[in-house]
Amino acid sequence: MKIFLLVFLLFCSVYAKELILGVVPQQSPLVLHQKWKPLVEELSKMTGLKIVFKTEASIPLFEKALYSGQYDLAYMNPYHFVIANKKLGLQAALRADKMIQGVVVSKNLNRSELFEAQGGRFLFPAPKAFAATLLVKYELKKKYKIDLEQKFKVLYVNSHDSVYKGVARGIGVFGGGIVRTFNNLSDSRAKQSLSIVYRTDTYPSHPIGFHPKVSLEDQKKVQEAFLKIPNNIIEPLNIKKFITTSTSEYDIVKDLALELGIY
Amino acid sequence: MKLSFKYRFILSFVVLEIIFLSMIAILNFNSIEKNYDNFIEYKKESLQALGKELLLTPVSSYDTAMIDNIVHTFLQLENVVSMKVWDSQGVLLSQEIGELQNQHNLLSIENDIVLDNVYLGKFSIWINKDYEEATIQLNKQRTILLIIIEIIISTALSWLIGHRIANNLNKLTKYSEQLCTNLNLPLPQISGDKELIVLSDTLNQMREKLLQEKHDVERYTRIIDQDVIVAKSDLDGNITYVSQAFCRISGYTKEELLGKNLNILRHPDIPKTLYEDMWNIIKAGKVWSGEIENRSKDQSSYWIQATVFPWFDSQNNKIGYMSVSHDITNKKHIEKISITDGLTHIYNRRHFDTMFPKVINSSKRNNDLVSFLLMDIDHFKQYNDTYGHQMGDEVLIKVAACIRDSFLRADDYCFRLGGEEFGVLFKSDTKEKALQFANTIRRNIEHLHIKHSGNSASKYVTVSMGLFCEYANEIESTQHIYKLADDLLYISKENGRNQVNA
Repeated sequence: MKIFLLVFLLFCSVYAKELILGVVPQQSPLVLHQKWKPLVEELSKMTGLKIVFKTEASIPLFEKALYSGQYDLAYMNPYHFVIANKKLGLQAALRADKMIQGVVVSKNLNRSELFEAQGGRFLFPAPKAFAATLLVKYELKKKYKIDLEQKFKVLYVNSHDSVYKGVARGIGVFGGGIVRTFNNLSDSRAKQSLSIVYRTDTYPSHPIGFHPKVSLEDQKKVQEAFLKIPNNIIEPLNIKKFITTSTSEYDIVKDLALELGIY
Repeated sequence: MKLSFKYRFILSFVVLEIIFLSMIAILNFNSIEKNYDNFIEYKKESLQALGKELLLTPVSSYDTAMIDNIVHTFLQLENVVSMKVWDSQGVLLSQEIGELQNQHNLLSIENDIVLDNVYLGKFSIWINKDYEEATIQLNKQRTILLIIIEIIISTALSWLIGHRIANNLNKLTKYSEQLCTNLNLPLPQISGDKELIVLSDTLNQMREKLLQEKHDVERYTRIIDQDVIVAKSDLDGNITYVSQAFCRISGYTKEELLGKNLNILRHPDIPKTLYEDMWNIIKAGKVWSGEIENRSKDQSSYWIQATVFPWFDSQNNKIGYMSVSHDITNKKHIEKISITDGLTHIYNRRHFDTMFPKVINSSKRNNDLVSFLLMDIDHFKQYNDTYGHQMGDEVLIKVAACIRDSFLRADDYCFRLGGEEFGVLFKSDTKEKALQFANTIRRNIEHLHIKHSGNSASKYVTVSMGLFCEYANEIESTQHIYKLADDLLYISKENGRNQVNA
């Protein structure tokens, strides 16, 4: 009897093998949950594994959970990935089939004034926002030797919209953002008063990485499932399709982190 | 102006209702205004606290998108027209201006955003007081509307109740009015209120009792009408009512009597003084009682024992007189028989015995001269023996008639005192006149020329007389007078008869 129970439990545990998918909280946890739920269910069905969605209330909490290895696989921004790669050996496997590009917007000033101007506020959404903050800071520093922290008073205003609105209302002279959020800005008055004065190069977008503890077999199963996922399920995530990637594709991001002294 | 019960009921109900509701309205209005002031204050404080709390973080981090959201959210609140947020340098971080911003009646609520004594910025919220005041007006209007509805409903209700009660009351009032003329009217159907049913039952009981009593009274009246002689007159004695019995005894019909004066019944034999006495008494409001002889339509007479008294109306005003009488004609007749001599039809000895002291007594008032004449037919025994008793009776009748016919006054009385003995009681001014009167009678008898062969004094029937005259106050007793008169008569006989001795 005991043996039977043991076997049953073992069987159950094998069947119920869980993979925790951590997702960076770019939006409220509730919204994220609603958007990711169909995908997670579909993946579980396709792989026979139990994929569990998980996110955190804030970016710092997410970083903490990520870096302490609480997720079996995670969707995160490229900077988070390189840090997690460094700390845990997280391996990039998939990413959305699109590139990230940072922009600098201004109300009255032009591109040349970005390089010459001195003083005033430079608005960013958050210190570790990958494209809007890190890419802009990195490229200006790397390509034009401009240290924004020194030339401007850098202000983190919590969201992309706040960056654009803040610049439009004269709170800051420049602001860092990305093309998509700028285009989507609902405040048309602010949008019309602003212009993009600088665009960064394009970089690979948010990767999905596996923790090394996940077996290669499972990794492969999940990766294949992601590649085969129907479009309508990932549409709410603003992703057309997933493509394979590798950790080496994010070497440039590691370089960025090194350059900005945050690696 | 006298209102009917129904309208007074409704009016008082509605007036009370209006007073009551006005008080409620005043209290309500006060409460609404006070609530309004409280509400504005509360709203101001709430908006200040809420704005500060929500804006603290986004203003400190210049999170304009968040500030925009907050401002937008504030504008969703009732009556918030506009909102602006500034940073510490006065840079406008966010604003949303509503359509009503140009209105005058806006309440501006301002508050600084301060964290640990560091001034981060400020915000202003404008709320629409008009709206609030309009709400007050709306509340007041609703209150007034409710009051009006309440008044209409209560008026209708009181109308219904009043109408129901008044309807029954009207029925009862009309019924009782009709009862005055017709007690046989059946009670109308009264339904509903207990008091009214009790009232109508009581009314019905009263009606039945009255009806019974009316029947009794009618029966008694009929009996009285038939058997009691009743007449009513006005103050002047004009007849206003007579009973059937009255008509029967008087021989007149009711129609003949009504409106006529009572004096058409007067009998000439009754002295005027009696009527004068009667009128004096009843005019003084007292009751007169006495026997009267009346004359009926066929001129025959009848006697009544009458009681006459004044008659008053319900306000105690004297409106006339009433007489209640009974027929004593028979009694009077028997009385007459008992004092009359059957043969001669003059008064008998019994009446003499009654009358003699009465006459003396009544004469004492004026100390009149009372005369008693005693007479005897001379040799009447021989007359009977000679002519027979039948002729003797004839003589007695003729002598009696002669004496009576000789009288000059109403209060002269003659009596047959014994077989052939007659007595006369009369008054005269002097003794001489009395003697003269006695001689007149004596002569009148002799002049009857009734043959009497056995008479020693004349060939005709004559009388011997004894006359005694005395002033009333001097008279000792009737017996004494009688004795003296008898003695005088004896002297007349001794002296040869057919003479008077006084």
